[in-house]
Amino acid sequence: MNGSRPANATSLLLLAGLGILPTGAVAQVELDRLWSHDTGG
Amino acid sequence: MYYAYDIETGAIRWSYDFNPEVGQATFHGDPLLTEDLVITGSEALEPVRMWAFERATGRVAWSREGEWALTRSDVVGAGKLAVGRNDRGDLVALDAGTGEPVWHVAHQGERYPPDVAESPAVLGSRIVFSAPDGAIYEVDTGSGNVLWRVDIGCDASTSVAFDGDDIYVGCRDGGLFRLRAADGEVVSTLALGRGLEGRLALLEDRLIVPGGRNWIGAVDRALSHVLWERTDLGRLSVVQPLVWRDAVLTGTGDGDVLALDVADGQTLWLSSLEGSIRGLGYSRDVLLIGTIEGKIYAVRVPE
Repeated sequence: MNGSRPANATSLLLLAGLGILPTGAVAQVELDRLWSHDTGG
Repeated sequence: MYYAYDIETGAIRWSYDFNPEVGQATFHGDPLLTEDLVITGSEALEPVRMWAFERATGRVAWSREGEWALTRSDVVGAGKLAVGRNDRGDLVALDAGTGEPVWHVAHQGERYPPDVAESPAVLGSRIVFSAPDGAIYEVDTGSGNVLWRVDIGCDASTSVAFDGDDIYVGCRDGGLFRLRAADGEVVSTLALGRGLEGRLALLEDRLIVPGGRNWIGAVDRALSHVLWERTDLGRLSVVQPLVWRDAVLTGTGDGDVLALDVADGQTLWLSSLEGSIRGLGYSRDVLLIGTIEGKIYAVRVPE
């Protein structure tokens, strides 16, 4: 990907689906958040 | 504080405040869950204290303090026993139902509070642990008798992984050891060139190895070579990577949760949360993520 424009998330997912995701580029996923709790550390 | 949550809703079923008893209490070792109880020891050393809570209500079923109290490392189950380490680093077995002492194995080194990485591993009638005297011990769970003790000549800094035939353990000097469970003979070693730290994950054909703040890798079970390694993930803050659904989950101090392919180490997905990722676990299909700052997330991973 060096020298090319940064890929957006959609194209990265497409590349990942094709098995040609470039090294260093990672598909960011949105986790389905059920709940969270702040215990205060 | 200790919390029991409803996994689906996050509602707090019960909680227990340790602070009046031991001051600021932190927990790194996994508790033992029996049918009725949650058995845990805190990291506080003055006083050393442990508790068994009723799973349903949080009521204290029994507690112990002093030399027979388990601290810091995992509490593991062996039949009706709860086994772990005391503040000297000795292996201690209690009756899980009552907390009464059953047996203890003193190591030959100096007094040394254990780290969570030095948690024992149990399989059937045998339990294995590493000690600050540079040795690995195998103990009969019924009697507490030491079956063998083998000096590996290094400071063990990972949990032991044990499947009945082989025992694996890593050291601060980067050495990874494979011992024969039958007699403790060192079968093979592999020098990884970096301090190893945390929990090993033993899979059918490989071993997942955490190697400090910027390395995680997989080696074959014969310890002949590294299958894959990653050094480009940032500052790793998880010392107990979780193997879940053919992925190795780990996380960074910048809040990234990463899923690596068990087969080749490639990143399957990444997700960013707030805080430094520390604890990873799951219940059914819900992934639980804890941060050093104290936030807990319950999530599902999209298919």
